[in-house]
This record gives sequence, structure tokens and C-alpha cells, in this order.
Amino acid sequence: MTDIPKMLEFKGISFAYPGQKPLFDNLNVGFSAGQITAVLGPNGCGKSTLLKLACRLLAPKGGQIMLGGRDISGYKRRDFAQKITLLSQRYTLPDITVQELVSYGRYPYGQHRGLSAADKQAIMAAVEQTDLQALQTKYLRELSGGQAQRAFIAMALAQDTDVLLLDEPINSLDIHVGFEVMELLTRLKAGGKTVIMVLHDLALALQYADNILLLSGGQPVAEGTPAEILAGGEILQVFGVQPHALAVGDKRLFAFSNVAELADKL
Amino acid sequence: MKNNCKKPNNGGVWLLLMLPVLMISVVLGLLFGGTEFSPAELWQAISAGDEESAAYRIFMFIRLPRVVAAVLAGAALAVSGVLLQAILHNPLAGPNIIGVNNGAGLLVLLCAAFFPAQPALLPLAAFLGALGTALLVFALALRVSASQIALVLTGIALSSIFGAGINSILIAAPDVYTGASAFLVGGLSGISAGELAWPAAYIAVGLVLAFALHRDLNILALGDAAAQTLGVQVGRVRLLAIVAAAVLAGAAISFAGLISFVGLIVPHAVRFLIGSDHCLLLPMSALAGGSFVILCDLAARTLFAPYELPVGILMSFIGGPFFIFLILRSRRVAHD
Repeated sequence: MTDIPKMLEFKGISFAYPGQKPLFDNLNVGFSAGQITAVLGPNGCGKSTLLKLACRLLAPKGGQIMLGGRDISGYKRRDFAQKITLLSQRYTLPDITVQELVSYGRYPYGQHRGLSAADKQAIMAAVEQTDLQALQTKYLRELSGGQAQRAFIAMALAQDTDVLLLDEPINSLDIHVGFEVMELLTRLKAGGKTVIMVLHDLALALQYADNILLLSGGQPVAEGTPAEILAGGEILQVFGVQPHALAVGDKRLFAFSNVAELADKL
Repeated sequence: MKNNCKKPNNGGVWLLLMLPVLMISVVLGLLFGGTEFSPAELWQAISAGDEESAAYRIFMFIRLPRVVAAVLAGAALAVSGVLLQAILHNPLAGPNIIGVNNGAGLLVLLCAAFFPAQPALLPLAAFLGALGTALLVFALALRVSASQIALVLTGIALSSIFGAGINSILIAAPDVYTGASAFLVGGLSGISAGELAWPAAYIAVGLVLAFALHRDLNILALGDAAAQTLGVQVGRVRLLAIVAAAVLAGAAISFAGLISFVGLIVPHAVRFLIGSDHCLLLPMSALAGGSFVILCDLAARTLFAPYELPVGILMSFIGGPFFIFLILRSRRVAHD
């Protein structure tokens, strides 16, 4: 792992859903500031729960979660919403326009006033960053899946948090749209955001993330850069597939095989 | 607030249009009725202040309170429906569908039975009945949230239980509530201005509270988790919205009886026109609800004149099929 300061840290976290056996028991993980971290792992390993704990949708049974060096339980509701936000897997789509949705991102900055000049500026910037200028007055129901996802990301950008959590941001999107979303997240990172996302797509995670956190059974199996993870062999251990790095032009792309001997031939 | 209310699809224009629609409805409600007077006759009697004339008395003591009652009941029930639909995330919710009407009705009759000389208590009793039912439904909704229809079925079950309570009281003590049968279907005949004072105060409070929540309700439509990550106090907003919905429905029921479907038909029609931004949806539903009940009441008074239908019956004839239409549509959306 790099020596970049941690923006978000889980210290000795334990958690169990009511009536179920503990999902996390003394979990210790950290997420570097200003980087993209992909959280990977098989279904039920606690990836989404991790994100929900980080943004206080769930409360841990024990341990501390530190955001910017401060225990998250100490933040006031609105201050917290200015620091960290989560884009869930699924939203109900209300009958509103893109512009209205994006303006909801300004809620933590003043609930009972109209939109201030700063609010309008943040909304405009979020719309530009997500390239939604032409769609501002469209209703959400008129958008494609990728456009709707961009609109929700724009709302999160208008919220202007340090940390952006995303739960399966490219699920159910067409493959080229998935790439667009990842490119967008890379641009956000360049702007200083800490991005933490749960992904199913190992290839995109290895291609775009600065760091990978591999979870299995509620415990981190490996943490490190994609190169470190590839060298460590934990992907085979956790997912039962062999990753292969392929050089295409100046990019490294990734493929997977479930037959170990194929790895030698590639 | 005005920045938040900007709509690209001219929602504000619809809101401005609704105001004259309400005014025209009020004028129609005042001009027409079972007894025929020409506008000139009415105008003459009122401007002369001729308290002995039939035209004056019918206008001042029958039509005017009745139209005011229709506006109040329509606005209150429509906004109550908007609130319930928002907090339950269920487009099929409405005060009568989820049992709030019967819950309020039961307490009104209990109040009439035990405190017969205290008509001022009726809106309070109706509010408490509506609030208790709404909280109960919400607690159940948390458990059945997987299905919109399950919530409706729960409401029907609660309605039946409270309905049984209402019928028990009426069988044991038939004289406990004058005009009980009109109360059960909901109607506005024979309402006096005095009866409306307390409910009007409740409704004013409920409308102000509802509008104060408009931004939170908008964000709540994204789902509870999303609202929470945006910094909305979801539990508090929901509780306040339930209280407002119960104040509004309870106050309307206390004088208009168990009028059905206003809280379902009006919010849906308004959403169809202007979308679901509560900044416009709430005031627009209030205005449209008022117009709708005035016009339905006018139809109920005049269609079979000199006989008069309670407006609640007409409302059920319109609302029942509309509800079935909504169920069919929600199933179709689910299949898509």
C-alpha cells in the first residue's frame, strides 16, 4: 500500500445484521485520500455493508470509523453530508428533471433558503463535469440507464463531498457506458476526490483503480495496487479465476481464465 | 424559495391557472343548487342585506358554508393524500385506502357517544384517530415494504376492523350521531359556518406544516438511504408528515364525514400535469382538491334535483374505477 494519508479508516469494526452471525469482527482497513479504491469480493462478503457503515446508514457494534481523522459519529448531520456521500445501486426515479435532481445535492448547504449563488455554481459545475448540459431539462424517466447514472453522479458532485462512495456504479449499464463512468470517476479523482466503489467487474477494477481491497468472509484478503494484487495470487484464491494482464497500446487490460494451464500459454 | 419552484415544463403556469379554476368553481357552487335563483336575484338579495329573503338565507346559510366546507375538505384530503403517498413511497396510498378515514370516523363516533355536548372535540378526536391509524399503517408498512399491494391490503384489513367498530357503536346507540349515515358516506349538506371554525384552524396548520416539508419530501422520493446520505432527518420528516396528514384528514372528516378517494384522485391528476415536485404539487393539489370537491358536490346537488346525493357517494363512483385503473397501471409498470 502507498504512504498516502488515509481519508477513511475502519478501526476494529464489528458488525452483524440482526439475527445473523457477525459479518465483520475487528475489521481494520483504510482508504487513501485522493485515490480510487475498488472493493472486490464474492457476494455476501460485506462490500455494500462496508459502504453503508462508512456513511452512517448502518451503525457498527464496535470500533471506530474515522473520516479525515475524526470519528464519524461525532459529525453533525449536515456537516457529515458535506463530507461523504453514497450512490446506491438502485434509486427510485421520481418524476423530476435532471436539473432538479442535481439541485438536491445542495440540500446539506441550506435547507430552508432558496438556491444561493454558490449552490447554482456548484450545480452548474456538476452538470458540466458529467456532460449533462443538453439534458438538464429532461425528465429522469426520459434518460437512458447511463444518462440516469450520470445524473445521479452529478447530484453527488453538487453535494461537493471529499469522499464519494459508489455501490456497483456500472451494474446494468451497457458496456461502453461502464467505461464512460469509469473515465468520469478518474477525472473526479484528478480533481482531488477520494473515490471508493464496490465493483463486480474485476477487469475494470484492475484497469481503473489505484488501490484494490479484496474482501472475503468479512475480512480483507489483500490490499494493494492492482500490480500488487495481480502478483499476490489472491484473485485466484477468492474468485477461482486466473487474471492475465494484456498490453494493448499503452494500456494494460485484463482478462480472466478459469483454467490454470491456459495462463502459461498466454 | 422561488428558485426551488422553477419548473422547466411550466408547472408554475399550471399553478396560476388553477387559481381562477378554483374561483370559477366557487362561483358555480354559489350560483347553482337545488333551488333556482338567477344571479341577479342572488346579487340583489345579498347587496340589499335582506335577511328575510329566501335567496339571502340560502346563499348565506346553506351555499356559502357548503362551498367553504368543500374547499376546506378538498384541499385537506388532497394534501393529506400527497403526504401519505410520499412517506409510504406508495402511489396507491390515500387516507381512505389505508384506513385513516375509518380510524378517524371511529374516534369521532366514540367522541360523540361519550362527550355529546362537546362538538369542538370532534376535530381533535378525528385527528387522533387518523394519527393513530397512520402510525399503525406506517409501522406495518416497514414490514411489508416489498409490495405496494400488501400495504393496500393491510389498509383494507384495518378499515374493516374500524368499520366494525363504527357499526357496533351505531347499532348499540343509533342516536349517538345525528346524520350518521350521511357521515359514513361523506357529505356536505347542512353544514353551518360555526362548525367549520375549528377544522379550518386545523387545516391551516396542516397545510403550513405540509408545505414546510416540501423539500424534504422531494428528496425522500429518492428512497430513504439516498435522503439520509443527503442529510435529511428521515425519521423526523416522516413523523411530521404523518402528523400533518392526520391533522388534515382528521379535520376534514370531522365535518365532511368519510369522503373517499379525494386524496387519491387529485394528487394523481396533478402529478400528471406538473410532475412530482412537492413545491408545486402541494399547493396545486390543495387548489385542485378544493375545486374538485366543489364541482362534485355541485353535481351531487343538481344531477337528481330536487333529490340530493351525498357527495361521498359520487366520489366513490368516480374513485373506485380510478383506483382499479391505478392498480392495473402499477402492475404494468412492475412488469416492464
